[in-house]
Amino acid sequence: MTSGVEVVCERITHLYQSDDEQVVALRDVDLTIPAGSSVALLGPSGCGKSTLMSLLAGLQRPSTGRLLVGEHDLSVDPGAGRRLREATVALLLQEPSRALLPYATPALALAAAGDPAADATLADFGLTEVADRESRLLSTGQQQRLALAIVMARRPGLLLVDEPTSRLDPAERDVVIATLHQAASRSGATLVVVTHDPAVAATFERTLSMRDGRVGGEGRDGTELSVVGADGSIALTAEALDVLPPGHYARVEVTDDGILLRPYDQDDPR
Amino acid sequence: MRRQRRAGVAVRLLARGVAHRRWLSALILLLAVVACAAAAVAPIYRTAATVSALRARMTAASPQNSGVEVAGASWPGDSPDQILAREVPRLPLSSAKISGMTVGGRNTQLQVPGKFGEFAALTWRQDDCAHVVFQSGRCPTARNEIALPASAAGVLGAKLGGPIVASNLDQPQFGAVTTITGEVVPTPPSQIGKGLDLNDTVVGIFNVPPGESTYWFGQDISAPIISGDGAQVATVTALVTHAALVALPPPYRANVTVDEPLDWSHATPADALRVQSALSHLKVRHQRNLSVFTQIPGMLAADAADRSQLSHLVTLAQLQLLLLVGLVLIAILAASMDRRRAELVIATLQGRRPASTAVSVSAEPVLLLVLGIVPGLIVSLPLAALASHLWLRSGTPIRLTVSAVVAALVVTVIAAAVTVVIGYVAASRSLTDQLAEDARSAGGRGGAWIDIVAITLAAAGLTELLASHSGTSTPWSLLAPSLCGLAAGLALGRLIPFLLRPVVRATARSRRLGSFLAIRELRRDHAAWRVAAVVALALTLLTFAVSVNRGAASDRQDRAGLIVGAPTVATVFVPPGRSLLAAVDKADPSGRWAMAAELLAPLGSPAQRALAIDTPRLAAVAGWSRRLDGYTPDGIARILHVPAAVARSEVPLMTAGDVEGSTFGLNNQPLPRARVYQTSLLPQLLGQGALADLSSFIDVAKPIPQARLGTTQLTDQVWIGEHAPADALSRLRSAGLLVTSVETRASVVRRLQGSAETAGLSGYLAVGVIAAILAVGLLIGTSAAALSRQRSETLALTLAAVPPSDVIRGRAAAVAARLVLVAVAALSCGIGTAHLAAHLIPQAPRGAVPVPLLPLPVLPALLAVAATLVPALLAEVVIARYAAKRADAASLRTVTP
Repeated sequence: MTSGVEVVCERITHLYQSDDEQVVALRDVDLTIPAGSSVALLGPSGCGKSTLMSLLAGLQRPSTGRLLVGEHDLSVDPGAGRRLREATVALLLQEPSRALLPYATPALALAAAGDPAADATLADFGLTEVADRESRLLSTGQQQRLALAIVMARRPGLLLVDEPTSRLDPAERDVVIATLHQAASRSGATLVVVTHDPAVAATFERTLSMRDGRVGGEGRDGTELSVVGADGSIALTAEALDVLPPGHYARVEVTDDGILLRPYDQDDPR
Repeated sequence: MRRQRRAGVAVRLLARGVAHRRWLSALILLLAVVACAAAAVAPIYRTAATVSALRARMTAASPQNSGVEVAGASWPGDSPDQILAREVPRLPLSSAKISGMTVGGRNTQLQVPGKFGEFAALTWRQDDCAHVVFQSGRCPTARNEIALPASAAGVLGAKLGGPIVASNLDQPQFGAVTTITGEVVPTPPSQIGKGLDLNDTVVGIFNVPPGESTYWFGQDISAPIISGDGAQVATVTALVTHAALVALPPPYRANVTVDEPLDWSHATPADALRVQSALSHLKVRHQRNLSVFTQIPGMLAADAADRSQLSHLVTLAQLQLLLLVGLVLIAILAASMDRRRAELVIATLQGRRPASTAVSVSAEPVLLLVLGIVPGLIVSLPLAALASHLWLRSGTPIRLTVSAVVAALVVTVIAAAVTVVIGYVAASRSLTDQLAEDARSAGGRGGAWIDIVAITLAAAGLTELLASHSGTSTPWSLLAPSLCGLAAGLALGRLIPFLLRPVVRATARSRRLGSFLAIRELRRDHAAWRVAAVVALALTLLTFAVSVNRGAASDRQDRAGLIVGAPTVATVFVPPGRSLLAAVDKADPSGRWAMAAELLAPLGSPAQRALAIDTPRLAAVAGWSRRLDGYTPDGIARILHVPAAVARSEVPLMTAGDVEGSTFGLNNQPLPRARVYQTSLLPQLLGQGALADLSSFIDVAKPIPQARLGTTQLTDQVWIGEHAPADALSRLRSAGLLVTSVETRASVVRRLQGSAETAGLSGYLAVGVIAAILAVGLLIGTSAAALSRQRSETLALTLAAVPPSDVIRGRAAAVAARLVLVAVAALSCGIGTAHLAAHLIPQAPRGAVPVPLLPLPVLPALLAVAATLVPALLAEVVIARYAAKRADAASLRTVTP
């Protein structure tokens, strides 16, 4: 069993160049993912999920802040990302066919990935029947499972999965997600999954909601929580935003039970 | 065990990869074969052309030039026929036939005191007295004893026991013509006027019995032998002792001359070297007793110069072909890497190093490249054989050479290295770039560097061109036209999409889908513009090659006219007592078509000069082109296209000359001074366009030193003009001349066609044709690839209810427009750079590499366009229709439950 790796993000900000202007993809992200845990990243398109995934995979370095994956500090060492992927981080792409050799059969692909027990792996991932079929001829769900089997053959400590079910029907989705959880728990790897699908998110013990480049909320055991940022900012939940839309003032009152947030009306300043 | 298993998996993956990308793999393999063949065919062709040119040169030359003449006699302890029989087989090209032996003497006069003397050959051979019959007396045994043939004794008035004096009669006017068949033996300057004043006693008078003619080389030494073309020197043969003979300086001994024509029709350069070596050996080994006369070293030296030129041309052509093949190969390898995105993405996701990734993704194409070596070498042989059949002498051997194999290996190694570099560049890209569907984002930076390098190289080549006014064009500058074609194509490829941007917007606003598709396709298909650059290079090469070969064909006519001197030149023998001038006057009383001439061949030099006699006829018979009037020799060399390695010594144009005194004795016939001309004042004459009236330049002419004539062989000629009657030769015969040989401009043209220079130029033509074929292949291949990439777009258009015919029209319009633009751009670059180079490269008199100076070669250019683009256009349309049909079928599958 592989031991998972811990992920620690400390005030990570990331900018990228788009045409002639700098775009802030992530801002002051603080996040800790314990080793061996499973996390789903939620959020609308453009909120920074994929950027965060690419940072965690070592494909990019954060502009500022500190990013630790296991013992590797990705924010300092330029070569750390490649070494990390070589050693312990696996990334599954949204389109599994992009990372599969179209002409390789599942059996051959697993053998090439160095899986010593390819037959057992094929059985575990429900691919025995198509073991000798070229991967380009597999269904998307089968391709997703094959891609997962291949990356798991390398026994990663951190498994990053980008939208694994976006092109699957519900039945295949459930199979893939179940396989994903089984594989992660079997190997003890830390699992981070990006998804839009609440049904998928619901299978995770912890969810992180991102908005405008921040981790705005966190779900734990079905409870949605807001996250206080390092600068003291707090992202409201969707329900709270209905009461206090963006652009409005709020009065903050500290009470014995906690903090009370009231809309502030200039005409009625009570 | 684990390693073996992994190796087995790798092999299976490799095999599956090749099968999956079978068309691309086949294309790479095909190009690998083409590249290896292109690399190998040049050395093979160069070797064959070298052999062909050597054979052409040597077999076309007279036996005097391509054979060996060995002179000598009476060396101690041996006989000439035996030693030659022993030495001749050492000459590798010898047919072991001795065409003839002649016995001759030097300028020795035997004279009975108080009576007329005669020229004599003092002779000794092993057992010579056993091969004569003494009428009286005996064989000489002492150094002052001599035996004479009976007839000679009669001529000289010698009697048995009487005295006889042998003395030296070396005189400049008789200096060289010594042997009885007119063979020429130069007198060493140190011995002129020296030696020989012997007082002998006649001890024997003999005859040669009929059965002994073989021993005496077929000559009847009993009778005085008449020698010389016109001098008619009678030589008697006298037998002396060996001791007496060896005491004489070599020129005063008798000479046995052996003409050994060598059979060059199967020669190779290696044989030529062995011939030279054997000749050296013959000279060194028998230095005391033999004189070896041959023009072979000079001929071989000229051949070596030709070989150098040939090598230069073929190497340049090969470099340009390899540049083209290399570009095509790189384009295909880049496309191949584009088809390996999954491998690249997987490697990146697995954190593999770019170098390691590059090696692994390059394995498949490199394997294919290696597989192409053997077929490439095999293909190169028939290609070389075809070229040989078209342009070289029949029977020229085509063999795989070591250099051909090395060239193929080097090309493969370079291609493999380039593949790995392409793989490294691809592996070093970010994952986002690797995942990008649009290949444009992938190659941008690397492509820009390639463009910059190509344009820089072209600029450097042009600078070289501009700087090389000295006439010694460097190979670098001669690559400039191709580089310019390439660079211009690349620059255009960068510029056109930018210029098309507003047109795209305009067509996007219009409702004409076909126009929009066409213009958008033109603008965004960067690969097509890079293909345009390669096509530009190909067309440059083809235009260049066709122009050069056309120019060379015209040039050969002019050169032949200059070399021969007249459309037809007859070498004649003037019988004793007849006059060449009188005979020509009799044959052509009008003076319109025949002119007497003498060819001067200075001994020991291959250079020949022509002397015009009766020069008022010169303008009517001379064989040069009128367009050459007004040019200096350097100017002629410049305007003649290569092969324009015009050595001035080979151009027997005539200029006015003079001799000291009012008359000059030629062949014992006094000639008026106005009728003798020398060849050295060509510039003044031609510069003033005064060919028709050479006599006006007599006063500025240089005199011919009489002394030089003493070492010069003269050949009587009759120059026959363009307007000669059909029976001109018969008329000359009727006038009393014996026509021994005829040389025509056409025969010289044929000889020039067999030269190394022509072979090199033909190689250029082959390169041009191959370039065009490759360009067509590349156009078809890239078009197919582009259409393959557009499948999803075609499908979307079909699903959007756009009629397939509209899609086809749009695609076809795009294809046609791109091809037309490619054609125009490429052709402009090709012709432009070829002509730019033509005006920049100075035409060196020797060693220059051809540049066409023709007017715009419209016809070859049009042919090139037609040959290159029409098939490609047809293929594009077919592919577009096929793609549209597939899209239509796919849409049906999509909408059908």
